[in-house]
Amino acid sequence: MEQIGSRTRTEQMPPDPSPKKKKSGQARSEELCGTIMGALPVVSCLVFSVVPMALALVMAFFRMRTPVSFAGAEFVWFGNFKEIFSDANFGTALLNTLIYSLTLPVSLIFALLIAAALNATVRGTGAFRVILFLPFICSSVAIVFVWKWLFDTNYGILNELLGVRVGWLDSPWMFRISLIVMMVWAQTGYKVILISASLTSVNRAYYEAAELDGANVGQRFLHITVPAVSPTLFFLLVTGLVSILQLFSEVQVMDPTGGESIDYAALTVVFYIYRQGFSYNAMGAAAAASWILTLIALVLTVLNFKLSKLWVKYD
Amino acid sequence: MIRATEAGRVNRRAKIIRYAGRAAVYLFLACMALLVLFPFWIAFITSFKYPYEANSLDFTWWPTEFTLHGYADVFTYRGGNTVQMPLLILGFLNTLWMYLPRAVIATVLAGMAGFAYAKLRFRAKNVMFGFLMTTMLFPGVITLIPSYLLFYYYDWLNTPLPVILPGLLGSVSSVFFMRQYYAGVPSDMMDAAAVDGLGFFGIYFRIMLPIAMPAFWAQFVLAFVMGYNEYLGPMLYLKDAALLTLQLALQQFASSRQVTDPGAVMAGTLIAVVPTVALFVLAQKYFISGIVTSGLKL
Repeated sequence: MEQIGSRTRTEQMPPDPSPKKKKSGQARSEELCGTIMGALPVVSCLVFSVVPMALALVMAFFRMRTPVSFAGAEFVWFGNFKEIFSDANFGTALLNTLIYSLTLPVSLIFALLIAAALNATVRGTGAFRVILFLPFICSSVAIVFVWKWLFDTNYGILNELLGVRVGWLDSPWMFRISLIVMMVWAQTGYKVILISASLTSVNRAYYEAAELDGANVGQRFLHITVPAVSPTLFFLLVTGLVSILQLFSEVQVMDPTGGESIDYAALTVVFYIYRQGFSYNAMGAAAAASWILTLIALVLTVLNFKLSKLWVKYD
Repeated sequence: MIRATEAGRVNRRAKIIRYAGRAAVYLFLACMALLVLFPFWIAFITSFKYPYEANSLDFTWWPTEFTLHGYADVFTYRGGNTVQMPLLILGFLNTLWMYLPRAVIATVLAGMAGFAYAKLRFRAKNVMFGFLMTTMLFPGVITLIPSYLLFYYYDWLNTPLPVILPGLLGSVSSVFFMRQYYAGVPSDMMDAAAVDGLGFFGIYFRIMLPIAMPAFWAQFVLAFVMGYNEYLGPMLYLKDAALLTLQLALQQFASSRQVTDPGAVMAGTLIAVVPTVALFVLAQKYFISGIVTSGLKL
């Protein structure tokens, strides 16, 4: 109604005399509508992220008697943290998470090479993109069951092709390496799409000029391709790090016990948190472990941003 | 004369090198594509094998005795549950009604917030947007343990609310993407509409939403696929067999068959990925461009 009123006013009056009044009405409605529209995700974040985060911080300092209530909870200062750091399994979980994080650089290198190759070709890149992207669409549950079958010691295709009889998932190191191979397979396509998109914006003239100057393929790759996609690489590094630190589904579906028989090679930090919270009902310790992981993620992200000044080229 | 032929020879050599290089590039790409497709292919052929053939030391590249028993198993498995339907069908239907409306609503609301942050002036804009950006830096797992406690207090455990509500008002990355998208849309169209007396909600729903359909499709497909593939949340909150999602059903089915019947396991995984792969292939153009834009302009 107010809107209609303001419209007739602007139509009837010449624009000069009182633009202030019309503007203030619209500005007020803009203020209100904008705040409401912008606030919805903020409210969601407050309710479902900030409140739980604060609660996790409180829980981290309590030993909870029952898993889902503070009834009988005991304030233990840093007791939960001490307990976690003296728990050998937490150390294993940290180490495993670190090892599984190798997936990130390996898949980035593959993605960079594939994207560069896609950039060098003219035909068929669309089909390649779709194929490479397929694993990203598939759930980790589906991916793990297929790979478990490929890795099967007796009937798996991997041993069949290599003519060996290796237990790919039966010893700690084989398990870790196998899982990294699977995750590189699953996570490279998404990175290829992003990197090759940023490559298409690179002027082909740079490559031609470099070629005339006698730069070989490797030099062109290092001095033109890599700097050109460095902001994208940086983005993938930051987001990929936070996500690989939270690795859970893949290892949990692969080995629901956390790798009890293979020195807990499947135990990641999130898996540790899950077990503390939901298997041992130690919600306080689980909350403390989540905060430790969060702090690690924040520190690494800040470090990432600081280091990015050395190699990321924005232009 | 001699010079010309020499130049020709050099030229020809350069040409050969270029062709060889191009061939090498295609070969490399073909290898990578084959590596990606290979597990799908093995799953595909295994899904048509009887257990005796799948679990045989002589690997066969095509089933000697072709069977659909694995697929029949997928569509009839009930897994000792008292539910009225085969488990994977139930899981699929649950996944649809829990995640499809959520994806639609979340995308529309994220677009609205993105529009507001890109085009409207309001006092709390920078503070709110900065807040959203900051939350992106925190790993989501921090909320895992306390959320369980909160959902228990709200009496939401064993209801679909914990998997539907947290993502309903729009994911932060989606808001961010739509903001980037709208920042690239000229404002004059909106200003004209404002003068015409269309309120800001009207401007969004009547003008800004329709013109951004490609971006919406991308975000919608992404949101739906993410929900469809969710595992940890449903596993924690949906203990009731009647509320099971497809990933949980698949996990249960595949675990019960993995030693005895690999063919059925592969049939199950393939059936489970078909809907999202089909959606992706259909919306492929928007989907890839959507991911690219949301990822690139940070």
